[in-house]
Amino acid sequence: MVIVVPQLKKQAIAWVVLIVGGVASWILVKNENTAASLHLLVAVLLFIAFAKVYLVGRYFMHLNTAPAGLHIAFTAYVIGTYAAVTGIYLSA
Amino acid sequence: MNTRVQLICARLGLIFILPFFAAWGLIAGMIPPRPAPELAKSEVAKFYIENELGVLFGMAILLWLSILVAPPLAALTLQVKRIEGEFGPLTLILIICSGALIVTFIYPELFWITGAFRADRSPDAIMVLNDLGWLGFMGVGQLFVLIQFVVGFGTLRDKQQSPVFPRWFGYSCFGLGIGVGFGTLVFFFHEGPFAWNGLVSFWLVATEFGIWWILMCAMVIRAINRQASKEKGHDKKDRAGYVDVQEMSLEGDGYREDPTKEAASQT
Amino acid sequence: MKLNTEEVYESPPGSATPLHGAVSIERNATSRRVPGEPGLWVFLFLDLSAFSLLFAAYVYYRGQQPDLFEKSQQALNPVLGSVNMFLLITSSLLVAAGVAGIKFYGRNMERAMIGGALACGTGFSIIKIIEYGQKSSQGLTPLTNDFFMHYYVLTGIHWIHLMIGMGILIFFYLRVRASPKTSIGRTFLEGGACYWHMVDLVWIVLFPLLYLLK
Repeated sequence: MVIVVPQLKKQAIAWVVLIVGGVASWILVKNENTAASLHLLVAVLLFIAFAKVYLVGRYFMHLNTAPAGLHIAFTAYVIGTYAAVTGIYLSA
Repeated sequence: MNTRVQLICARLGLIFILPFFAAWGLIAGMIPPRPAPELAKSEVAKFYIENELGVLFGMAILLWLSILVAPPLAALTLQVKRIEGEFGPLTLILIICSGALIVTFIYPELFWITGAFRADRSPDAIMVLNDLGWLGFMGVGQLFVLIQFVVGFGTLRDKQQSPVFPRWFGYSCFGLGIGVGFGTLVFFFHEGPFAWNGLVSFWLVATEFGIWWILMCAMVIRAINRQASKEKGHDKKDRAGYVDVQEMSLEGDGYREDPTKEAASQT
Repeated sequence: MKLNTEEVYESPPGSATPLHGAVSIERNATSRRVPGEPGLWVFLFLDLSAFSLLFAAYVYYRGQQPDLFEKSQQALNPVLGSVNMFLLITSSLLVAAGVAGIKFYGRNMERAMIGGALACGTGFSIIKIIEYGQKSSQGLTPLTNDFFMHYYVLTGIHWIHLMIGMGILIFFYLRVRASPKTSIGRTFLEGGACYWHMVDLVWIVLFPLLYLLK
């Protein structure tokens, strides 16, 4: 019988969320014609992507049990890159 | 080993970097990267005619500055030798690459200075010389990346009580090496971020090269100082700058000589 | 088995003695540990920063020629890209399970997990070859236009990272197979796993940027 350690269970849940996020992105893009604003759609699309990145860092890379400084640095990276990419896209 | 001379060698590395970029950028006027790869050959020739003296002077200075790359790499190699404990493969790779590296600096500088030497040459010829210079400088960084990776690899495998270099430095060698590796893209594109004047293939590459170079020299200086303080009292000749010729023999081919002498020189 | 901490690494059930070289790794609410080692994160942040620069550059240049990029994007196959995404996310989970399994489930499970991750990576590579092949047969190369320059360079750099990651995983796999009694150093194992997660992470951003952005 396979006993699943708590950390692995969290990672499995994270996996499910990542897949769901992927499907959500797909649906979002397929419905671009009915979107209120293309800019908003892309901002949400990228948000989903970077949220997934955060999940990978937090659960797969064990940042949830890492020292706070490291976790904060990674979160800052995710937010900063999302802001930069989305900002440049929106200003075009 | 004579730590005093090593220290001078490593410090020369720090002295080298600023004049290097100043001569290249300000005197030769080639930073931001000019002439750009997308320019027509008449405009490339125009650059060399207008900046003739600047390129001649800047490149002449660069040719001399390039040899200043050797002493810090020698000090680096000696510190890597301390990791291996002998003239092992990593040390030898550094020796091979360091020598070749200087040549890869010199030839692009030669091409550029040749362009300015007879700037009224046919624009076709000037363009070839300019291309060879830029592609050679930005695109032929493979030796440098190998040096970085070898230092990184050696650092991470250092199992001594007090390692020669800190482990984060070893990891940074790989991280910064990847950045320098982007230079190879210059061969494919005439414009955009991956051309020799691009955000990635010039600015990222040059920045990561500069950061690693300064970091490496600082780490080598730190390692030499720690080596010197370990040796203090062992060999008074060292501090007076005296070099014992006998101690400069190649060690570590498995042949054990006087065990006490080997222990004293094994640092 | 009492689990009073978040994770307790003990010998696999049924074995009398701990694995040779095994280290007990405990993570509970009060003890926090750097995954791998601190220096590893210097590398990861450097590499991630380089990718951030590439992402930003792509979006900037896209803004200069939105019609060209939009039109060229049509040649991309989002289904293949999505399959690749699925493969990488799954492989990340498998690697994480393999690292967790090193002490808890025994060597066979660990090898199976790493083998599974390698299979995913191979699948990714095969799809990449198919994608590149399809495009080049249509005459779409890195030199065709700016969109394809970014497409090939970004996915190419990512693919190189992936192949390096697969090399690391192959090394782990062979080490575990060769000497089941000794453990791979925890630092190296976690480091390699984190590198693989980074490869996954980059594709999670690359896919929407290249394939889905409007």
